[in-house]
Amino acid sequence: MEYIKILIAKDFSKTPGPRYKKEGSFSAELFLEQILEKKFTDILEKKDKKIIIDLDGTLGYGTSFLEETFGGLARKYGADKVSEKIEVASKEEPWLLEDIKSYIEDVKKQS
Amino acid sequence: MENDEQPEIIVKFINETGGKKLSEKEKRLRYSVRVWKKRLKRRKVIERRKKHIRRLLQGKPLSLHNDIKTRVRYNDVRAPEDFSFLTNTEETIDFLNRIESYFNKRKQVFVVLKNVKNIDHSAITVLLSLMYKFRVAKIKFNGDFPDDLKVKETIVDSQFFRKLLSPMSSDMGNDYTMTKNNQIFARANTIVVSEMGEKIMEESTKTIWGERRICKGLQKTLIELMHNTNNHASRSEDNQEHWWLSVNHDKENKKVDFYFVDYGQGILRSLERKSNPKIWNNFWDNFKKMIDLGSEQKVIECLLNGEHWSPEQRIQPYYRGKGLPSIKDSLSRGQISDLQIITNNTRSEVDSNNFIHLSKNFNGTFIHWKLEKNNENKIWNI
Repeated sequence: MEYIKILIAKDFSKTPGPRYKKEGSFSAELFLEQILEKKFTDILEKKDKKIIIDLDGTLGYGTSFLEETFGGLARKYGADKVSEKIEVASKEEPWLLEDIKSYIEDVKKQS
Repeated sequence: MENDEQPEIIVKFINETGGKKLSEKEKRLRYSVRVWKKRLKRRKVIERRKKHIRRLLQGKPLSLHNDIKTRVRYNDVRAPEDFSFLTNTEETIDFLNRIESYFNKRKQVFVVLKNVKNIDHSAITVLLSLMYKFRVAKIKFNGDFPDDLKVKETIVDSQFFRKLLSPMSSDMGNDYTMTKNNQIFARANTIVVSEMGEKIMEESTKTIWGERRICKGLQKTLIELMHNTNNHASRSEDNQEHWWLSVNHDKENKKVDFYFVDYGQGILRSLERKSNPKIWNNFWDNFKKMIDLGSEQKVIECLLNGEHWSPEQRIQPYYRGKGLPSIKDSLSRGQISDLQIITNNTRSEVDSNNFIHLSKNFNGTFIHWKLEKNNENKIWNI
């Protein structure tokens, strides 16, 4: 399996912000638009590729940023696809992994 | 048509005129009388005001006359002796509400701080956010200094006046200034300014641990609060409510206090507003039914526990409402301390799970928390 790594602190911002662009700088909407969505669609049909998103190295996250990133992607491409193609890593805040899992699960329950 | 079936105004007219229709001359005469009565009333008010000013000017040096004449136009509002949102919540709210009532009538206000014996940043921050509304609305305001020198020094060092009177600009979000006495005010506009957290974190952690440390709970709390103001504080749909943040460094005791205020509508009123069926499908009513409400304090408790957004209940978009619970999580994990929330008629001491009913309503949201030595922190590696 080939992993494409995204380190949010390095590739996007060490101070991730709100949910939408209109709400402030370094939003999840911007992150999806500029980085994640492009990489995600590139590997969507490739069975041997996955994305691993490293959450460490930032100052901290608001819940809206994480929900829109993972929940937002799941709303657009399906919760199963997101669970299948994306892995998340965080040594600094391990509880975020559970939170993200629940955001994707919520989308699944809604659909 | 019978008399008793006629509208009151017509009956009155018939009685006054003896049932006759008024001639044009009589109509004009009556109109003139009304106008003159109004003028007379206005003249009396002006005379009374002039008399009052003459009395005030008696025995005063000529150089003060202009100041006194200007002063009379303002409405005095006296601050409580213990001017603190944390230790004297209800009196402080009462004081702020009086100022706000003048704001709503677009009347000039003179804030009397003369007798204040104790003041803290909680009060200064809320006062600043309220007075800024006067400035934006171009309503004149003024005030005096406390007689107590220590209190006066606290206000001056807080940069209250500098912030209040500095030019209004759209990039207030980058404004972060450290004053000589280690007390700072940061002010931003309506959006989430996540990058501001870096500077605040650097300075705060140096005060506590003597070096830069990463406190993720601090950043999370700041983002959630700014986000809440942007999304929920405004009474209109334009999301134009300002948030204000005050950071108070206590080098001696190695702790930093944070005061966050938005003078919007408050959490509870915001929920009520969203009960508009078109927007939130009767959110408020459903919510009250759902948790079998005994009081509004219970609502805040439930919001903090994240009990309102379960997808099954479908009372608002399922992905919303995670901000307050995540702030509470930061407290539970020891990332921040002493979390207190004052909004509408509720004061929440979240640490001790104590939710108090206030007899006065605060039209906004005030949040205090602390960062101190025993809070979770990590090495600065960014």
